[in-house]
Amino acid sequence: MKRTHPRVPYIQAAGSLDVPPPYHFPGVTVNAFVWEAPMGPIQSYCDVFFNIGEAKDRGFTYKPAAFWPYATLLFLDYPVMISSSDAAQDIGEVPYGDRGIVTQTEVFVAIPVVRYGVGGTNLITSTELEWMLPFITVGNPMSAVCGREMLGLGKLLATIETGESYYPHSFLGTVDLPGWKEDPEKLKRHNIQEMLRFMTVKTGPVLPTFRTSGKLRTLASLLQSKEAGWAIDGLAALSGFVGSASLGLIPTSMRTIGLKQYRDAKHVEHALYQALISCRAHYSNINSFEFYDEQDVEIVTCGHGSFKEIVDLITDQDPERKGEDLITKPVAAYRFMADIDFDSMEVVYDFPIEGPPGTPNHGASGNLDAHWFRPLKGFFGPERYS
Amino acid sequence: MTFFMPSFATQQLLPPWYSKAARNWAFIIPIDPQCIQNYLDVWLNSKGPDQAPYYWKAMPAAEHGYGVLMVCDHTDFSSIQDGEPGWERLKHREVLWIFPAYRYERTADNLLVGQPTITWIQPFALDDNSFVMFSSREIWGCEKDMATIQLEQGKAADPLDINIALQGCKVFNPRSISHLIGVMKISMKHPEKPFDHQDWERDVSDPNLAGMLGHFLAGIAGPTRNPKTHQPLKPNKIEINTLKQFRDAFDLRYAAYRGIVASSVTHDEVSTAQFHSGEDITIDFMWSDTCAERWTQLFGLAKPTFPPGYGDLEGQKLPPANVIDWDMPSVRGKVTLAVSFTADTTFEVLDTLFTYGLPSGS
Repeated sequence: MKRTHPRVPYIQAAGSLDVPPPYHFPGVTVNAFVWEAPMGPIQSYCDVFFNIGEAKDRGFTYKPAAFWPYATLLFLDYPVMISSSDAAQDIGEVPYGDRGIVTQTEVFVAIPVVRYGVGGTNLITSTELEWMLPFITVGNPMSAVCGREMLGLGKLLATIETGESYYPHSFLGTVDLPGWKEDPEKLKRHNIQEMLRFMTVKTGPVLPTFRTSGKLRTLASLLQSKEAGWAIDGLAALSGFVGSASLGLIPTSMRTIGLKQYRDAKHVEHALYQALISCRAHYSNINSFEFYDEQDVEIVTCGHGSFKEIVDLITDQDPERKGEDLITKPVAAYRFMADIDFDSMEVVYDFPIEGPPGTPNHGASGNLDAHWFRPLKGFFGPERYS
Repeated sequence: MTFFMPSFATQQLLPPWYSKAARNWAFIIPIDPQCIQNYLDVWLNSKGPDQAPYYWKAMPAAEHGYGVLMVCDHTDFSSIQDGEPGWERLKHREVLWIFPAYRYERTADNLLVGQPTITWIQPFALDDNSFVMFSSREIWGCEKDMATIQLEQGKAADPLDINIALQGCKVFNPRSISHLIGVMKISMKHPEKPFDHQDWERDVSDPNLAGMLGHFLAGIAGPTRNPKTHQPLKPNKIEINTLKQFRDAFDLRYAAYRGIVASSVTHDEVSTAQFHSGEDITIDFMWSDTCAERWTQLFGLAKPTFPPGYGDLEGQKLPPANVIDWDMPSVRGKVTLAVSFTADTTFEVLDTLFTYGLPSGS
């Protein structure tokens, strides 16, 4: 599909703090926690944020990935974030890549979804596995702004702390977010906003350890076997080839999908832009892969006040409760180090916009071809997105 | 109609906004009108595929060669989208650099017609609340950056110390590490003698300053109640124009959306208004590569002399997180005078004045 609206130059301040992608992140420490995801709320999320309009008009339908019904919570410590754009930067200033580096922490929940093409041929050529990130927070304001305004990722600015828990080689992570404690519907107004503890994740030491709290019985115990250990090593070595097929544990090549949308300034209930944006997070040089005993892991989320909506979506369907907090027990927990490249931004689908008079109105456009199909399409009949 | 899909990440502070008893400090700073015109030409007057039917012009020096650096402390700020204050209540502080400019209507033949409207432009804005920052950027296009804004004040309006910092690099270098660096230091000392009527008359004997203050005070300090009947008068409004734009993810040199938004700020229930002599105020602009462009282009400041070896990153040591790094050269700005006041403030979006690249007939 071709673009239906003209191109408008973006006005770039040379001193702008907003650094456009792509980015290179070497030596990232990743702590990951996997739990069963609630399929019903995820389908509802897909319907609201991805399946906008009629399926026959847009040509695709998003559904949860039934073969991997898990949510993955990732804590990432980035010691170095570098702008890696090789494009000419005609901003009349020092190129972004030469300005310096940023360090930050990031926490997000990734849930696999499948974009199914509608119709016989499209079902094959437009079907793609992608990862939705319904919850993503960062510690650096520039990263939050770039994620929101360029990539359509709903990044929130949080205070994120990571370190060791009580035991050596364990993990403790906390996320504090601005929010409201009380249910405003009850009060008919909000109490004053404050920084609230949204999440605490605590583990025991990495395996093998004698400090486990129970008999190992799940993924970690399986992979403690010598054969499985070789499998993991092989996986890491082959990470450049295995793509997203790495058992879902190591997201070696993760294409994110998000709805980038902006409100009309005057008519705030209307959108003046809505598009599905996809980006690639490519993990390479994966090393130091270690499991935690998932039975020692406790993920506590604040399930009330202004956080209730998101917690209902990302936690498992039947969590334990501690007062008003929810406790999620993962089925797998592990950590590793990797280099991450964030690149290949794409407009998958630009939704048609119908707004009040004087606001943008345009038709649909986008590129729904699955990535595996694009070389074939180019070979048999080149068609460029323009 | 296409409806916005609100999510956890986009539950924004929807305008209109209301701030109860906000404390404000307005520092009047002289500025070369050419700095203002340069900004207007790039951000508001430049063409897209089409041209806005407006032209913004700096007020010439013979009229107003001044801008206003505003520092606002909002302790009870909320949305009145549903008609009453109290939704999404929060506290925040903001720093704004604003100046007035003429907005003319422009014909398709590039002729400026009619009498100009006085609008206020905000080329530089900082905020210490991410919720407000995202809402400002994404709804009405004010490109606020996140900052640390420390405010220390005695019981009276002065003395006052304001420290402002943001994440950035002192020196651009591939080995620089972004951290919390000082942006501005504002100090107002207790005056040795009160700023009396004669001081005030002396300062505003400059017709440019008088004109500037006239426009500014019309928006804040005019009587909001009839002194005889005590009936509320229609408050004056300041109109603000901003460029709202977002990058196209497919090609980041282009905008997926670019438009010009008109908003207004109304001050009501103004109290404790007080003037302060510029002689009692210092503003130090901290010179980092992150902020240099703003200081030279928006304030017309000249780069300071750097001490020998400055910028050598060998063995660089950073202060602990959340501690502001002030170890950099600074340039002292000139402040003519300042006004402090407390007011109930209402912010609302008036309309989108122009959207670039609309297909004909939209």
